[in-house]
Amino acid sequence: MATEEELKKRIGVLQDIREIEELHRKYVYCLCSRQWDELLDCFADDAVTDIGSNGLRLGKKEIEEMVYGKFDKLERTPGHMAAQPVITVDGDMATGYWILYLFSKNLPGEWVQGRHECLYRKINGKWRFGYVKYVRPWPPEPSDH
Amino acid sequence: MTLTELEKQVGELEDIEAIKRLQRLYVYALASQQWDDMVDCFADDGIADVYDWGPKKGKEEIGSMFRENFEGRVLPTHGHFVTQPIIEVDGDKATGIWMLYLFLPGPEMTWTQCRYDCEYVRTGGGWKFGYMKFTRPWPSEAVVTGGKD
Repeated sequence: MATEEELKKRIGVLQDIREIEELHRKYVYCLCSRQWDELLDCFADDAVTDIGSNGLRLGKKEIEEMVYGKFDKLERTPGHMAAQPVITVDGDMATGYWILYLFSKNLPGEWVQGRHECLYRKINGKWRFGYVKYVRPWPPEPSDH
Repeated sequence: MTLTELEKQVGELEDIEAIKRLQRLYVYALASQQWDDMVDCFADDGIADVYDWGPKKGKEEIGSMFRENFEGRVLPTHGHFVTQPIIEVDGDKATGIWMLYLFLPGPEMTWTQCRYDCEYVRTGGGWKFGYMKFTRPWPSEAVVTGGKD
């Protein structure tokens, strides 16, 4: 039989998965609704992003420049939907990947399937993104070569 | 509540997480045409019942079915994702239903709603499919038209 301590730890992992999924979904809601400050709050201060064609952004300041310099300049924000999370928790670190759909009249076929690959870190009891990579389309289209 | 009762409840929540993970890994493997990874999601005596191809039992039959029918038909340009799970765990067995959405490329939005009906079994290698039925489209045309099809 498990001890009380062991059970508390196992319950903690389940809570961590739920909190990480909520963090990720909050990020996607903020993307849709252009709530940039709330979106930036999802990142650790030293987080790194590698989102589409925006290249590596190191630290919250560079991420903020991308958000206000690129995301905020979009004429129309597409619909976003994240699904199919696979989260693995290891103490105060976790990894996760998701499918992320974009929906827009401006896209061929009006949709594109992409993938988020993330590292999450628990800082002062709260989960934050440590690293976010976004690839689209996913899977990559077959090369012509 | 005793520790034994609490452990049982925690175990069930962990099982539900593990089963969700299995189903999602299966769909990631499908989307990226990793047929062997899909087969690994089945128990050794698992059954796959896809479309009207008839139930296939065991990893060899299931793998052959995937390679023969999906190769060249399931493409990287197709979108796949599962959602809306209802999972019920009963000891070392479980049942689950899921929606799968299939998005197809085209000049305009094209999608199909499908459904998985699954039985899962706990094995030495974790939770696996004991039985997996895939229905596309779901519901049938007769159902969505109220029998007027």
